[in-house]
Amino acid sequence: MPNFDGGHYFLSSLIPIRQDLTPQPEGGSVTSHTQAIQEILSILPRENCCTTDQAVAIGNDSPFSRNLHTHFCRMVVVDQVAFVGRQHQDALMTAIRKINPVIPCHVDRLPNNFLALIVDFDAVDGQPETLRRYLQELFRQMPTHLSGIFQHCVGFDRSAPEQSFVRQVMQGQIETTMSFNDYYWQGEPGLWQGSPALPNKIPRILFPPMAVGLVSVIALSIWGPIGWLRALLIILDLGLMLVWTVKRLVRIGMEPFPTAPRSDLPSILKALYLQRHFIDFMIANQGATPEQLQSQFRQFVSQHKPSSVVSPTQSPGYLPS
Amino acid sequence: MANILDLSDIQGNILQAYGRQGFPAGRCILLNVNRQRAQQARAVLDQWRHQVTTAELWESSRTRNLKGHYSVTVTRPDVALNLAFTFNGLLALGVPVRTLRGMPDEFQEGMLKRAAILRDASGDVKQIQEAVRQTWDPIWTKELELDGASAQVHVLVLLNGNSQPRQYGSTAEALEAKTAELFALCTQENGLTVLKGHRGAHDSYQDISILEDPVKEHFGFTDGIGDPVFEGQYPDDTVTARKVIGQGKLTAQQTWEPLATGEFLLGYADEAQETPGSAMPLAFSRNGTFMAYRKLHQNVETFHQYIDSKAKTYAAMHGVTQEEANEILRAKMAGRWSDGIPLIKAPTYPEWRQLQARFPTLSDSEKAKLLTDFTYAGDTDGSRCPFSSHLRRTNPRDMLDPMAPVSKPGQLSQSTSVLNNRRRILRRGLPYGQSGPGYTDADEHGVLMLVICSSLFRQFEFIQQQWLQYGLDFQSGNDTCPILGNHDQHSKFVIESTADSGKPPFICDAMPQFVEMRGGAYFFIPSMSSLRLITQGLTDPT
Repeated sequence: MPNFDGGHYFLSSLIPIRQDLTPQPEGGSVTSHTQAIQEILSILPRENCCTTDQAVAIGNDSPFSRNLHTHFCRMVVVDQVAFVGRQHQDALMTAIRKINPVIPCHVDRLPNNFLALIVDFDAVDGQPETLRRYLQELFRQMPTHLSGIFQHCVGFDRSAPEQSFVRQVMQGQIETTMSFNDYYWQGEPGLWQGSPALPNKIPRILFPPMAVGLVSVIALSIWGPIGWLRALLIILDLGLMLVWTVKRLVRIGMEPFPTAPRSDLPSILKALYLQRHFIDFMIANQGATPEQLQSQFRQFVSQHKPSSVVSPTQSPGYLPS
Repeated sequence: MANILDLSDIQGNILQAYGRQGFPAGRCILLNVNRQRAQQARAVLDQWRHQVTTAELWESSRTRNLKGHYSVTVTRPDVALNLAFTFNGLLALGVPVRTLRGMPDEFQEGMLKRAAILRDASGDVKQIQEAVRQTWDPIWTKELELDGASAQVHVLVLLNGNSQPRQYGSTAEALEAKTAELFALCTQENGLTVLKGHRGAHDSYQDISILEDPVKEHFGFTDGIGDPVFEGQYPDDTVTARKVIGQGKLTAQQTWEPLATGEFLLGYADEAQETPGSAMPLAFSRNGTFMAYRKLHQNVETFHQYIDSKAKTYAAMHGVTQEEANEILRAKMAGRWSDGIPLIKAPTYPEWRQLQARFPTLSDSEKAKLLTDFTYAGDTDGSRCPFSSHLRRTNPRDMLDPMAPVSKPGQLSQSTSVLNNRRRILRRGLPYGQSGPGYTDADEHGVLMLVICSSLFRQFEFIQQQWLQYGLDFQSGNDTCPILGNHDQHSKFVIESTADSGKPPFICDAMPQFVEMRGGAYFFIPSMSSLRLITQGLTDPT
């Protein structure tokens, strides 16, 4: 289940962009929906501009920072596939097969332009319902921005914007085959929550096919038909057991890793907040006596509340030095 | 491998620094070329071309050892003269656009436009220009004005004076005479103007000179110890074999090899085993290289005050004297003690003093090995030499190799310097100005950094941006270099402690700006063949 791993949902969706024309989003002449989306994306407030306290004070205004599950979100317009040139051909094979090199190769084209939506968010599982709930929440937090963008995609319904946004994204979803998770278990990752690591699982995975294989081979040897038919059946039986074993192994490979402790966005923000303030605490108390240190640390704990994930914490998207 | 390079085609100061060859002082003169009179300007430069000092070896005990290789000897000039050009300079001199388009982007843009990348200034274009106007020497900022074309920096004439001139009484006299000779030819008719606006005693040139203590820079550190060693740099293999230790590239067998020539000269295979693309024709680029010219002001007074104040806290925490704490903090920032002994060799004050006492008794090769032959494989927690120290940042040696950590004490690391081999630079700068008691930050003193490498983007700019102005590769987050870095935002420098000391790391915080940029540019140092093409207007890119 590559869409879901380590307590994170990795959404990839390609939503077709309308092919007719539209007025410019900022007024003016008529343009394509692709151009309109690019225009909107180019002026969407970006979080990463907030690198100083001053910038945060002026306006921490990326709409995505309103969502406390989103680790990152990226929207890009996929408007063409790159042609990488003619396929390399062996000169001898070309001559033998009588291929005419003058005839151009096929150049791939997309049937449509697409808006790619790529999101990494905290989720309990990889079920469609979980994705639906996240998309609904996201839409409710930034309805104007998302309607403004998705109205240029195929299937947007102005009378029911939230439903149509969720439908567009889910219909366009493609499987994420290469997810990028920053927060896996450190050290030994339990393959299943509360259970030992993969090497310890191997005997349990291999036991059923081996046991069934052994019993069936013995049974065939004793009661099976005689001669070459028996040999064939035993080989067939062993082949089936091998396939079964591989399938069991692959199924385990498909299982998502468990959620690493405190890898959800609020915990990460709190960790960054604490790290930042703890450095200042360390600097301020260099050379302090044990008594002073203890009393200062007590004050630090009561002020910054390490056990409370919610508050005080760092704003999402704030990138201080 | 000796003598693979045509030394007569390579300008001096590239393979070996003049400063180490008995040329203790120099002058940097910047010229503007009037495009309307490019032909006349080329004619003057063509005259100077014949005086340009090349990499040919001067007669010395070293060359005589080469047993008959040199029947005609080259005499040491009273003043070494070298020429370099900015992109605008080459354009003004009429080098064809088809050649110039093969020049790298960063060279075409110039250092001023790269200010944000190098973190010399930040903000939008207007803010950067304003910051540059306020801090850089006027000579660099005049071209920002509307009518700035005539103030553009085009040509760098670098003069280096021999410590024992034959014709003159002193180095200064020799430099003065050569300067006067050059200035006489910089006339309106000749299309050459000497640009003015260097801060300091002389506004028409930048003086550089080795300080009274010949090995120190203004903060009091011994400078110029390590420099990359590459194939063809030295005349014979025995010299290379001696110099390469700790200065070339580290192999998995823990031996040192010279770096590829292409890292420092154009037209040769580099560490990626490829000959990088360059401006055409090949003769225009080959044996040439690029140079970053950076005038860096040092706030010496502030530096000493800061160290003194932090040393008080350090001394109290660690139970050492103020003087000892002072030395330790300076060493931890630099990565070497003030006399150059690396922290890796002597991580504690008593060990340093011991080694320092033994130093005069060592042979030359033992001294050289002590100063340069070390790796970071045995210091994976930074407790000997801090991760964020200047030395580790500018030349991380093997520390970026994931194989660097050794699991058992005594086990040999197999770490290599592969991730560092493409980020090496030749340092050819000298200090300028005077500092010490009675001088303040407002006085003119610092170092004129002359960084030579074949790719400013991959080598110089990478080190400046990623290693000096950022700390991720050194497990130091956003921390910048404690000495050269920008200290404008939440600056700090962490001094790791040993695990068995029971002490917490010491953190230097609220660091003021110790080094400030005063201006500079990117130059192309052509080979002698290329210089002929430029000055004779014969560059043919087809």
